Amino acid sequence: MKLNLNIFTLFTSVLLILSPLIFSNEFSPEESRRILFRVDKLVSYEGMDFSGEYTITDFRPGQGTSRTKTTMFRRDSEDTFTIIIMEPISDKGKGYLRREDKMWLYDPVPRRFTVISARDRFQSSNVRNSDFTKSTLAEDYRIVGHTMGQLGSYQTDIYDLEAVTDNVSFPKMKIWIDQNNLVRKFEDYSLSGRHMRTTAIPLYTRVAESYVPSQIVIQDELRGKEVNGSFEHQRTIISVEKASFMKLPDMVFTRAYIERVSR
Amino acid sequence: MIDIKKTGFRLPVYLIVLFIITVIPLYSEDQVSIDDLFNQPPVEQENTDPDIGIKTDNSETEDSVNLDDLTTSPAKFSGSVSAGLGMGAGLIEWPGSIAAGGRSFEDLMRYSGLYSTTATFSVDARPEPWLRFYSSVVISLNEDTLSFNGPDVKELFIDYTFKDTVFSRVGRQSLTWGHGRLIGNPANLVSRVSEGIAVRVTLPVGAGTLNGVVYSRGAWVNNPYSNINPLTYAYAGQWESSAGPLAFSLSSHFKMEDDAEEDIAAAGTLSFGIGSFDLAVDLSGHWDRENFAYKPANWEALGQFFWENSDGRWSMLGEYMFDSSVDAWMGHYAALGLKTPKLASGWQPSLRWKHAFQDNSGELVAGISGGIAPDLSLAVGIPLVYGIPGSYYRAELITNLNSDGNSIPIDNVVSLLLSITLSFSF
Repeated sequence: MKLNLNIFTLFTSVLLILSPLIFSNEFSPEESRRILFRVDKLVSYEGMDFSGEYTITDFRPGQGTSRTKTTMFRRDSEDTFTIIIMEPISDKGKGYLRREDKMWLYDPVPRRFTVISARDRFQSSNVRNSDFTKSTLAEDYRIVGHTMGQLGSYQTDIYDLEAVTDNVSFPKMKIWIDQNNLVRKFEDYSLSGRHMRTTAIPLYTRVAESYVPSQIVIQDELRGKEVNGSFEHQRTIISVEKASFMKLPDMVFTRAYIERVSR
Repeated sequence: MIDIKKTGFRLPVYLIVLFIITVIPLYSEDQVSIDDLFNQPPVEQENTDPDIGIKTDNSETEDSVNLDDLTTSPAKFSGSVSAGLGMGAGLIEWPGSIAAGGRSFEDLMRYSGLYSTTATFSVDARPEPWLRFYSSVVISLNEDTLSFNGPDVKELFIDYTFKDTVFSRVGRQSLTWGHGRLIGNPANLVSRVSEGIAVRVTLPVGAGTLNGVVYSRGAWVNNPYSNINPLTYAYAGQWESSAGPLAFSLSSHFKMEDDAEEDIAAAGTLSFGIGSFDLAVDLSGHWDRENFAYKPANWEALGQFFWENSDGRWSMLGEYMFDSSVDAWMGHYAALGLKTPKLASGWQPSLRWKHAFQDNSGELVAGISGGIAPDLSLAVGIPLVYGIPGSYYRAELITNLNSDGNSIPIDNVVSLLLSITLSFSF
C-alpha cells in the first residue's frame, strides 16, 4: 500500500512538472502554419476556377433589411476575383475586380473604375471585400493559444490567432475548427482586443473534393440597436448557390468584362 | 458525409430538419445567438456524425452560373425621372465689411428659386454574348425659358467582343481615366470623348490591359479638316497594370490643331495603400507640337488620399493639385471632403472644402440630405464662398442685367439652400 502510494505520488509529481509541456498552448511557427494550412486548403481552390451566386442579406435592427444579389468568379491561382452586382436594380451593373492586393470598383453611371481598399465594407454591409478572397490564415496569422470546446453539436478546436502581416482586416482572431478541419466560427478583434465581428458558417456544400461555405452569418459586435428591450446586432447573411468549379474564360477576370456585362 | 444508401428516405427528413434549424432562425423576428446556429438535430446519429453541416452537391454542370445569362438579354427599356424644386436665400457681401459699403442686411440679402426636371430613357439589347446595343437619351427642363431641352443623346454605342478577348465599343460613350474627383482630373486625357463619337478597343497586353481610343467632336469636323481626314480625329492610348500593392497606368493623347489643349499630352498614374489610407498620384504634361523643342510643357500633378475608419461610418477624401500654367508657380489647389455617420433618422451630413492658393479664394459647403417619404428626398445646404469677386472660386458680379437696373451677383458669400427632389426609375 505504501509502495503504491509512493508510485502514485511520483507519477503525480512527474505529471505536474511536465504538465506545462504536455498541455502547452505554445505552437512552433511550423506547427502553426501546418494547422492553419490544413484549414486553408479545404476552402481554397488552387488550380480551379470558382463561380457562384451570392445573396447577401443585411439586417439593420430598426432600419429594415436590404438584399444584394451578386455573381462571383474566383481564380485562386492568380489571386483574383470578379463580382458583378445583379440586384438591387439601383446597383445593378456595379462590379468589383480584385487582382492580388489591388481592388477596383466599377460604377456604371460615370463609367469609371475607382481603386478601393480590400478592407472596405462590401456594399456597406458587414462583409469586407477581403472576405471574398481565398483563405490565407497560414500566411497571415500565427497560433498563440489553443483550447477545445463544444460549439453547438460540434466538437471544436479553438485557436487564438495573431496577425503576422499588416495586410489583414483584423489583427487578432479566434477560430473554431470542427473535426473536418472546417472553420465553423471566428471572432475578429482589434489590436486593443475589442471584439469587432463574429462570423458563423453553419453550412458548407461539398462540390467535388472542395468545400464551399454555403451559409455565412456575420454579426457586427459594435453596431446594432435596442429593440423591444434587448440589444440586436447588425447582421449579414450570405447564401451561396450555384457553386461550381467549371473552367472560366480569362476575360472574366478583366475590367473589360465588368464593363461588358454592366448595364 | 451523408450516405444516401444508408440513410434512405431519412435524407430528405434530415435536410428539412437541417433547413429548419439553420435557415429559419436566421430570418426569424427575434435575434438568436450566433452559437445557436450550430445546434444540430438530436436525431439518431446525426449529432455524432462528423459530416453534419455539410451538404453534397453533385449537380454542378446543371446548376452553375451561366455566363451567357450575364451577357445576353432581350431588349430592355428603362427610364428614370427626377424633378426638383428649391429655394435659396443668401448675402452678396458680409454685413459690416468694407465690400458691403455700408449697405443694410436687407440690401445685401438675395432670394432665388430653382426648378429642375430631367427624364432619361434607355434601351439595352444583348442579342448575343459578344454583341450589345445601348442607347440613352435625356430630356431636361431649361430653367430660364421653362421649356424642355433635347432629347439629347447621352450615350449610343455598340459593343463587340472578339473571341472573348478583345472588347470594343463604338459610338457616343463616356470614359474616365485618372483619379481626380474633387478639384480636377489632370490624367483624364479622354474627358472630351463624351462630346462626340469614339471607337474604343480594350485588350490584354503583357501583364496589363491596353486601351486605344479614336474619337472626334462636332466642333473638330471641317475645322480645319474634313470628316474623312484622319487629322479630324484625336488618338489616345492607355496601358494599365498592377504589381503587388501598386496599380499604375501610362497614357498619351494626340490631336492635330487641338482647339482647347496642346496637341500632345501624356499622363501617368500610380495608386497604392498604406495602412487605412488609399493613396494616388497622377501626373500629366501637355506639349505644343509646333514649339515642342523650346516651349516648356504645361504640367499638372494631383495627389489624393482616401481614408475610412474601421466601421466605415467616417470617410475623408483629400486632394492637392498643382498646375504649372498659372503664373509664378502659384497654381496650387487643395480640397477636402468629409462624410460623417448618418444621423439616427437616416440623414446624411457632409462637408466639402476647396481652396485656390493663387488668390486665396475658396468654397466651403456643409449639407445634409435624407429621404422624407418614398422616392422623395430633402437636401439643405449652406455654401460659403470667400475671395474677391473675379477670383478662382468667386465669379465676377454681373451688373445691370435685371429690369430695375440693379446688379445681380453670381455668387453669394453665404447662402441657405433648400431643395426637395422626387426621383424614381421604371
